[in-house]
Parts: sequence; structure tokens; C-alpha cells
Amino acid sequence: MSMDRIYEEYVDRIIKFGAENERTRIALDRAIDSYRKNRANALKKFPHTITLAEEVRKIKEYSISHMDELRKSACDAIEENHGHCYLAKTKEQAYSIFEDLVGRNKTIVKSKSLTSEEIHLRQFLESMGNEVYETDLGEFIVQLLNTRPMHILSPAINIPREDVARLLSDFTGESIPPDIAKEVATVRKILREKYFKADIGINGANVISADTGTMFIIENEGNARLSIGAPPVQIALIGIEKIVPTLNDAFKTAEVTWRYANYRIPAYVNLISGPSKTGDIEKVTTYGAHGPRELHVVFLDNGRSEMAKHPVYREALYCLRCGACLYECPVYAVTAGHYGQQYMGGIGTIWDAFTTVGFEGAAPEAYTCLRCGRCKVMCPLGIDTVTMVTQLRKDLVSRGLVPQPVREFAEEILELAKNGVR
Amino acid sequence: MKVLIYGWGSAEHLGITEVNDAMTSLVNKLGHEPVYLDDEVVCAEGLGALGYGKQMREIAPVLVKLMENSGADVAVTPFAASYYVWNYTLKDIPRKIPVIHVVQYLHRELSSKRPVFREYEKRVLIHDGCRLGRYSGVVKEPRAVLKMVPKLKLVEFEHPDMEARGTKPWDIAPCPGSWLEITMNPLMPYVADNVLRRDVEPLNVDVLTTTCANGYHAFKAGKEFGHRDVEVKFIANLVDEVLVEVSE
Repeated sequence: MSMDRIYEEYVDRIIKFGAENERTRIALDRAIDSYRKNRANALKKFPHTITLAEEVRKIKEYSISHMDELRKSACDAIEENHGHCYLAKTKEQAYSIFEDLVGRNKTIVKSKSLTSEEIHLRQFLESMGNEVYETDLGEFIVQLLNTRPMHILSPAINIPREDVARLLSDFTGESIPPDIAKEVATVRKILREKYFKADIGINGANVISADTGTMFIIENEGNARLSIGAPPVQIALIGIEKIVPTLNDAFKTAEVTWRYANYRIPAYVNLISGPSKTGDIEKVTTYGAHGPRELHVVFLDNGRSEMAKHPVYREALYCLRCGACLYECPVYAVTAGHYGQQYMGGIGTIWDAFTTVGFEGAAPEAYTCLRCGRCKVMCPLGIDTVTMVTQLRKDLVSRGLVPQPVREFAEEILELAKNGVR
Repeated sequence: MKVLIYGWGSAEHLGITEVNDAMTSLVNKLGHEPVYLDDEVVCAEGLGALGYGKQMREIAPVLVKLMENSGADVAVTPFAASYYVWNYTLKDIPRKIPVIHVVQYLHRELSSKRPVFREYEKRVLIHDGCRLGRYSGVVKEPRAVLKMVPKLKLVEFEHPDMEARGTKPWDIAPCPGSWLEITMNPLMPYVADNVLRRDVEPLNVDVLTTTCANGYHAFKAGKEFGHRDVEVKFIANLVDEVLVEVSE
């Protein structure tokens, strides 16, 4: 598809499904107000988070400069803990690893993971004949809608309660009212049995420590702990940028992540370092007690190493995925995740360019950003998205990948400068 | 003093000629001589923002020559981006003529003279252009100018983060999406209208005034698109409206 066609399709989508969709606006209004208030309250109660975030920035700077070394250390630790560790350099390699580990005709429960969205893991596993259930409530709604997440943390942020009620009514064949508590109870009932029937649980992680191989999974619903804990096999898919040197670094990173994601304290922080085990009988370690007997950790590169090499783009890898920037972006406030291809918003543009759709596919996103810089103000780590987007635009110009309206405007100015000025 | 009104053609291009009128009127009221470019590369400073930074740098000497040929002592621009580009991005390009923003010009002149203002009994919300406020820290000047106007009630943007992290109004001022005019035109009115609806209307103000002519253009489009009641004014237009005369 040509650059201009990609741009046209993107603009059609962002206008039709984002800007013109009044229901998206209603849902976003409610979510943004709630998020801002909750985050401010969380930061007021725990003001140390603001300086802790500065420390986490340094941790991330170090970690991204030592990704390969930290990945090897993390793998060593995971193997020592009786887990299995893999490196997928590409999406295709990740598919191959999952194909070997999962096989066909399995039931899988999956907790929310943007990294799995990046490679469309659920769709791949379904194409292999597996039955896959997204267990995060928002992700479950997204799965039923056969669409894609519209926010990093709140995948169904654009769907108001009235629409959720209709969706669940269609799915269950019962009349579900637009009452959030009743909607939550309905999904709980649908998914409850799946956890214990599942052959495999799949999760992502917010951060993982290289020294102990301990992954942190922050959640509120309790779906992650069930999908991690109940099935006999656990497989984690984790981006290599999530590795930090020590367990202490991981605690700090996790705290800043959840605080800026608007939680004073999340309901659950799952720490997993290996498969389930017991030494209760004669102190003989036996694996597969109550939790999974197997743990597999798949580290995904998929463009991250390339990103890390670049002096400007590498900053995107510091992202904690707290979602703060999206709640502050004036474009996102009218379009939700339609501002993006797979990832979202200004920083998502850089992620898309390197991990999902390439520079050409990310070009329309690059020209959606207002370069206003409010995202940087609100980011706990002060990530400079505007500079990255500007760099991307420069690279698009040099590669001849600028969308038509921008190209024509620039050409007109350059022509004026060349010929029109006395 | 000769004052070059810089960005005249860009304002015309954006359909906001009232900005040019106000700039000219103010320069006259302040006892200076307005001058204009013989020719202009419209929106040239926009090139860098669009990824054509190298090309912008290449044509910068042409722009400098144009400015200097005007015979002006100072170039005054209503555009936050122009101010930013000349004072930061292209600050290493040799030029004899300083480029300042109109709020700096007004602040300097009105503070050192004796202006007479009409009363303006309205609640006025100030919007800092992103490149002027957040990026350049030019935030005291527009406020000081507006505070000179009798009965004008100055209102600031609000955000829960201001109390939690000490962010300032210019840190959180929402962009109405003015660059979308060029990069994704159909989206701009939606974004601008939403800013007016979400961030401006709850503050119950009579007027929104912005320090960025480009932002003004977007707010104007958003107001029209969403049929919003709030008055939208570029800051130079507001000041020109209330400034009766100036004496030494």
C-alpha cells in the first residue's frame, strides 16, 4: 500500500471511529476526569513518588544501555529457579516458540499484555486451533468486540457502560443492565471456570529483575493471579526493555508505575520467580504444588535493540506504560486509541515504527502529534516524546515517506524560498 | 523605532487577518512605525516542525536578509513557533535584528509608558502557546499586560496535577491542535472544540485569550465548529480593543 493510501485510511479511521464517535467522547470524558483526580490523590498521599520517579529514570537509562547483559542475567536466574528462558528476536521467532510450547487445541487464559498485542499473540494462538480467553475485563470486552485496545491500561476506555451492557447481553443471551457492578459480575461468572479448565496461562510483566528473575505483574482485578496461578503451565511474554538490574530496582519501578497509573496501591502485585514448588515433605523440593509446574519466560526483542541503539529513539524504551501521557493528550481525548496503529499516542508512534508497522505505517501517527509537550510534563520519567516524534519526521522526510498534505505544504514553502523571494 | 510585523503572510494564510490589524494598530498606538516585508516565505518556520529542519536551516539566511532589508529595529511576531524557532532552533544563524513575541513587546512598552485602558469587566482565561509558555518560559509578560487592564478578571487553567506536583498553568495548557491545519486538517476542529468544551467551559469565563496566533486560529475554528459561546481572542486583539492611548 502506498504512503498516501496508508495516510488516507488512517485519517478516515481516526475521524470516523474516533473524532465523530460521540460515545467515545463520553467514555473518555469519564475516564480522564477520574484518572486525573485519582492520580493527584495518589501523589499527594505518597509524595516521595515524584523523586522516586527520577531515580527510576536513571535505572531505566542504565537498563536500556545494558539490555543484552541484563537479559542474559535474567535468563540465568530464571533457569536457576527451574524456569525456562527464551529469546525471541522477532515476532516470527516468538510465534515459533509459542507454537512449540502451546501446540494445538488447548484452552488458554491470558492476562493483559501490550507486548502480546504487539505481536497479535492471541490471534496467532487462535489460528492454531486454541481457545484463548482474555481475562482482564477491558481486554475481554475488546476480544468480544473483535477490535484492539484503546488505552495502555484501560483497553476498553472508549466503551461506555451502556455499550458494554449490550455486548454482554448479546454474549450471554441474558438481559444485562448498564450497571457497572452487574457487568463486572457477569464477566466474573463467565471467566471463573475458565481459569481452572485452562491448560496454559499467559501473562506479560511490568518489570523483571535480572538478579533474581522475578517478574512483577501489577493488577487490580485478580485475573492475572488466577490465570498465572491456576493452570499447570505458565508462559510469560516480556519485552527485553522491562529488565532492570535488581529486585530493589524492580520494586521502585513497579511503585512508580502503579502510582502514575493512578493507584495509591494496586489490589495485587504478583511477584513470580519460578514454577510452583514445595519442600514440605522431607524438605525434598517438588515442582508443581498448587500453582504451575512449568514456567516459561519468553523475552521479546522485535526491534527494541534497534531502538536502543539510536540516541533519540532509545528514550521510548524507558516508558513504564502507566498511560499518563495518553490521558493528557488533546488528540487522544477525542480519538482514543485510533490515534495509533497498534501502540497509541505520541510515544506509541515510536513503538509502532520499530515494532509493528515500520516507519511507513507510523508516518500518519507521526503527523497526528501536536508536539505540544504536555505528555512530557505529565510523564513520571519526563520522556521527551516531542523530540522523538520530530526525529521520526526528519527520518520520514529523508526516506520520502511524508504524507501528501504535509509534503505539498513543505514543497510550496521551499519553492517560495527558492523562487518567490526577491 | 521601526517595528517589523513578522508573520503577516502566515496570518493571512491562516485567515486571521484581524491579528495583523491588531498588531499594526498596537504598534501605532505605542508610537512606533510598523514596517512589513517586501516579500515573505509564508510559514517558513513551520518546516522544522514538519521534519524539514535541514531545509529550514538552509533557507534561514534568506529570511534573515528579508528581515534586515525591512530596515526594522525589531521583528515582532504573534506566532509562538516563530519566536521559538528564531530564539532557540536557529539562534546560531547570524542576524542583526532581534525577533520577539508580541507579548514581550507589549510588556516592555506598556510597562515603561503610561497606557490608558478601557475597563474590561470580563473573566478572561489565559492560554499560553506551547512554544511560548511550556518551551520558552515567556509566561510573566502576558499576565502582567492583562493585569494592567482595569476590572479584567484573570483566570488560569486548572488541573489536579497542579496541587499534586506543583505544575503551573502553562505546563498544563491544552493545545487546540493548530498544527493539524497542515498535517491532518479534518481533525483540527474536533480537537479544538473538545479543548473548549472540556478545559475552557467548566471555568465559566467570558473570554479565552491565547498568546499564540496559530492557537487562536485553531480555537476560532473549534468555536465555530462546536458553536461554543466563549469569546476567543488573540491577546494582541484583546489589548488593542482596550488600549485607548499611551503617553510617555
